[in-house]
Amino acid sequence: MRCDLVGLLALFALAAPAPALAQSKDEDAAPELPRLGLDPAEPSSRSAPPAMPFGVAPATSKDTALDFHGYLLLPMRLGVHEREVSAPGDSGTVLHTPPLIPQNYRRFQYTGVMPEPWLQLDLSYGNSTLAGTVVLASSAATEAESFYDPVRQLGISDAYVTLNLSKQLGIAFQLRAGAMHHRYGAMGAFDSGRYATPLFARINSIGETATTGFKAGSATIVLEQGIGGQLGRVPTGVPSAGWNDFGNPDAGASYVGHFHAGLGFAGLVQLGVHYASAWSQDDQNLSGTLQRGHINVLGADARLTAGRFGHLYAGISHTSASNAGAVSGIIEVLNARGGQGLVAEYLGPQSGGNGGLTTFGAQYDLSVARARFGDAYQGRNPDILFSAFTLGTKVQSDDESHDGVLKLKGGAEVTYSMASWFGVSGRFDHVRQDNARNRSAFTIYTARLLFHSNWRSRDEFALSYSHFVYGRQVYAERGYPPVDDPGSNPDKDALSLSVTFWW
Amino acid sequence: MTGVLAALGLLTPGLAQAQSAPESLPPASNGIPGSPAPAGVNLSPEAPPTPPAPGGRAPSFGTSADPDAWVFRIGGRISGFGQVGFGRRPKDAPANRGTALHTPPLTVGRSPFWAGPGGALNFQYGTQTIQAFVSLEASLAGKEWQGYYASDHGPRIRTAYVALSPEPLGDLRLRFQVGAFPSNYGAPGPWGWGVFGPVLAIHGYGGTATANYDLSASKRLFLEYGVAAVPEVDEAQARGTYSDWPEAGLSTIVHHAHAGLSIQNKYFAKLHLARADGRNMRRFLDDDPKTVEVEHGRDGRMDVAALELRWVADPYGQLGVTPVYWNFKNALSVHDGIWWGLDWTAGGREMTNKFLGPQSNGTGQIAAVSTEYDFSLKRMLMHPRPFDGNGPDLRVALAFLPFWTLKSQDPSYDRSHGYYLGATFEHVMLSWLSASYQLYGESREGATVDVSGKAKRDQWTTYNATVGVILHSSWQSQDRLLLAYSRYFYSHFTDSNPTAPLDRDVLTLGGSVAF
Repeated sequence: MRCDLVGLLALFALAAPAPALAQSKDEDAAPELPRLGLDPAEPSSRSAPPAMPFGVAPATSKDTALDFHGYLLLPMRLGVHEREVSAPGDSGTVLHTPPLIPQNYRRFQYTGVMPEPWLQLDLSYGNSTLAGTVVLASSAATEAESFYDPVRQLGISDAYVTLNLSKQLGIAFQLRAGAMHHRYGAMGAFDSGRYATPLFARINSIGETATTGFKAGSATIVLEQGIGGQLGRVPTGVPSAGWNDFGNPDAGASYVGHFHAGLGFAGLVQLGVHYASAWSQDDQNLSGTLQRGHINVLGADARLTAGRFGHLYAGISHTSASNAGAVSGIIEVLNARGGQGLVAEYLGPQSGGNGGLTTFGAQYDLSVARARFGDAYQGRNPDILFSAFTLGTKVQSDDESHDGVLKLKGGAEVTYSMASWFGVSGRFDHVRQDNARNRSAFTIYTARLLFHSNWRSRDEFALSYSHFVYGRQVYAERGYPPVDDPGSNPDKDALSLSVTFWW
Repeated sequence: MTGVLAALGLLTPGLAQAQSAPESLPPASNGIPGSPAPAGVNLSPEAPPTPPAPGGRAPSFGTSADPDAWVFRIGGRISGFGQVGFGRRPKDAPANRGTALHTPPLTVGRSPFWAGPGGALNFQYGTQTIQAFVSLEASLAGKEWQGYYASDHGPRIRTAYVALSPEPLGDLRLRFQVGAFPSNYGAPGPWGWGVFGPVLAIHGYGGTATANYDLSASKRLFLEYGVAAVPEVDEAQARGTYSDWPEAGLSTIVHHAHAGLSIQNKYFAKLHLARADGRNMRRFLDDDPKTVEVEHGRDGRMDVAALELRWVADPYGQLGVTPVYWNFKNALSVHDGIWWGLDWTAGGREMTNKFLGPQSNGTGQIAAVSTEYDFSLKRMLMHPRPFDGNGPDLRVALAFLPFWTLKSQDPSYDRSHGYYLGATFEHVMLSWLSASYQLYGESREGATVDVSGKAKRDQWTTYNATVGVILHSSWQSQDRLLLAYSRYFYSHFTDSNPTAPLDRDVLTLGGSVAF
């Protein structure tokens, strides 16, 4: 009994040291206000322990840490426009912004030659086992815009928690849950490639992604699986309008499952297979006629990381669609958002959302200095960078006017980094929106002056000039929402002054 | 292939320098093509959905980075102000109708308080050479606060830019800034601001190049050139539905150049020149005879010239005088690339409606002189002993801004004139208590059309006087809690609608903190 009492007192003592310590330290502090309720700033749920270090990647930290990254791409863009009808007092040739050029990111015509604004701030909090990440993003800085467009202010664009159980399981294993996007088929070694277009799919969902990997001799195997849905759908009766980014009320609540496997050899070659299936089986629309829709993507790619011989990526995929219009933007194929985007850009309005795409792409990047000097070259001297890239897709569709269309684009860029603060670049792009019709093709010649703070610095101030040569039936988009305007007179020349920087 | 590589290699001669210091080599994953890439089957959600930097030279976001020598700073401002206006009984209102309360108050003229967004966070990251800046703003947009979801209250990324400040070249210091940011010029107040703000403010996507050169130990020369573009809004955009009221179908490009000289850091003279070119890209809104009052199909232009003169006359305060001249040609086709003109007035249309007249077609000329005198009474009285602000004081700002419409095609505004005046007194009594007294007034010749279609000219005048109590945490802290009462006065021409009389009495309760 006595032992029990002592034990009980000891337990109480263990439970009480913190207040006693606080009182002894706070004798000189201002009296604390009594509280009758929660402070407005207090979260509704228990908060994590206070952050200690800063700037340490949670994945490498034993202690809880706050990590912060950001990315800015801010261009001023000007197009040289030949006015169709010039009134007295108007000049015939005008500079205007943004340029009137066929460069919609959601369409095959996009090349990335003319930069568009993008800003994001990534905040992560956690440690090597558990970390939460929030991404704030925007495609406009309102200070520079004509008006406040809420659609371009994405607010929190991603929020997820990463759980790394590698130590506990004895095998590399990571589970990620939350609202996040994944891009499969990135053609660049460290980015989504010159066309900023994932070859297979971009998946936007709230759900989970589990990744594991292990080594077998010189081989590395990576497996990834994910499943998720969207947070909501366009409510029945809401009109498609600018403030809701022209939401499609005929797209149902959608879900996606995806599986990926990668096999690497000696850090030199990585082979991958990818499968994603997005579907909708909703019935909540005004007419009650919403049918099931599917978009499935199956693909394979190979990546060669060849040291002095550069980086080569090549991949091929097949997308099959069935009543794709019912599938929301949970999946993006070639940046086309959901089934509606797929129908508008590839399958055609008479397709019923039925058809497919066979897509292929490749990119090759080479550093001439590294080719000459091998790993001794670390980017702190003059260099010539060479990049060649291509992307194509063949359409199978129930819409005869779109069936059999082959879309192709390709280009090359050479960059001469001649000083720690200066470089020049030249780029060539050719886009064939329908390979059988020369009049829908266009070519872009781009020259750039590049200013930066040092060798390998992550900042780039670029002054670019692009000259466009159009076929007779190349149109720029106008209107709200923007659509191809056969009456448009696209700009033949465009200038941009841009800056990129990340940390 | 070997020959080609060898030929190209001639352009990359300086490698020996790097090879001689292998111990300082960075990690292998440096973004050079062929460098090891992290194993994985997709891009991180944190990576931006953009192509690599132009030219592909700058390492992409996924490349490993050197964490040393970089500094992160966070600052911001949090504010919340509530205002209630006490309405007056309209003529012919029912006898049992009581006093109406209005939020926001039904007043016109300069408000003594600027609440700003509910919260602003400013992120800075970089070194002394290169710096990135991003400001994130959010306000109370929800139905709980506004009665409806006010989407134009954010959240929004407002300002973002990257600034490059290379090592000085002797006495020459250069700075280049590119991104989306405002540039403010010509304010006669201290720190480049003042009671009536800058007479020239520019915004848009663009950049500035600035040079400071020390001519001698006491003389410094400033030079700056900038260009900015405000993107066009498509004509088919339904204005005013969920956002503000942008000009549609117009591209505006602003060029601006500045030169200045400072002597002994006491005397400043700066010349500011700017031209905003508005390019009319309208196709459908143009030349419709039914709506000629809002549609004008012309390229437009707005030119500004300002001479900023300031004298820092310690301990007697600072005196600033900025004469400014505007020339407008078809300015209704110029959007708000010139963000602020006279009294925070944005762009060609607002300047036209307020100062040139609606019948002017946006063509005319305006001149103004912005004057401001700021002083600390305690600093004057203590001279020659210094006063650092930590003690009781009376801080005073007096501003006067007369303006003249020199020329306008609208006869009601041609050769008209007006003025703005402002006086603020802050009596800092204790480290935690101050009293505030403010007086603002504006008057200009205005015109309206009566029921018979006859133009009627009169004086549009409004004044307001405010007394307030301010609580703060220390003598010079940037936090304040404020309770204030304002009394408004209007001319008959200003308060001319008997069915909706303007509020005369306004109570304000609020607070703000900057960090």
